[in-house]
Amino acid sequence: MRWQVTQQLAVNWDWTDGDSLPDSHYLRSNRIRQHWSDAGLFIVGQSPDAMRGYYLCQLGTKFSNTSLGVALLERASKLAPLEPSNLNNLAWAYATSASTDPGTRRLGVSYAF
Amino acid sequence: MISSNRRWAMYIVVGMMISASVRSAMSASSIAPHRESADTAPIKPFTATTMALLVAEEERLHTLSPSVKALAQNVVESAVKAARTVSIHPSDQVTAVATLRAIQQTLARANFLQLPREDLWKRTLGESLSPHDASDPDVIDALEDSQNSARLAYVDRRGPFY
Repeated sequence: MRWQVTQQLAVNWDWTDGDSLPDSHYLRSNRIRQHWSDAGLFIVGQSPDAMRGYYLCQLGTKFSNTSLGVALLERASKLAPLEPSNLNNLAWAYATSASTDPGTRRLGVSYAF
Repeated sequence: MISSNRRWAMYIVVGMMISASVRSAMSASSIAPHRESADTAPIKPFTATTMALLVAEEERLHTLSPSVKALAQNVVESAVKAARTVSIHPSDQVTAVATLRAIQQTLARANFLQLPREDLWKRTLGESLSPHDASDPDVIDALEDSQNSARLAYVDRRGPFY
């Protein structure tokens, strides 16, 4: 996570390592992250809504075989529209539900990409 | 498709929620006409935290046991308390890191472990806050994993683990 402590100061905290690691640590650990960085998508602060959307996606995915779960995935995608896993998992839920109408299925395909 | 996205780790999310809670307390204080000491600054009630909101979201889908809800509340309150003993108004890197470290140690004292394999990661609070015995093979693996080495000084080896 990245804590925006003040307007000028952001502090990284890695809950896995239990330490504050520099941005360069994460860039080194995965080459694709350099592409994200170049695209301005790496180490971007999450808003509280986006964080909540990410969690709701996980929860919705667990229950994606129910209408409540799918509704949760839809809410998650609205709260965190830039989180790839949200759109991906919503697309998967649409694709695997027998009750999805054709229009929504087409929408799901676009989410998958 | 879904398996590639199983990035959910309870530990990380709890950490984010707790830090959000601390941040909210700090934000509330920052708009006050004067700065209050750590002892007198108001603490946001648990019911107003992100964790409480997420517990409520999950309860719409299935029943959460009272012990899960109690643990969620206890760990958030303990972490906020630990953070406030360091600072409620961090404004520099050293103090901010010390605050986060205090939260991390609180979570370790609650026996929250990082699961070493992605297939063990949890998606829900109900799963994440359910206890595991010290004899559980996944717990044994987790305790031996280097990702938990910094936590070992704080965990209670008798369990239970989360």
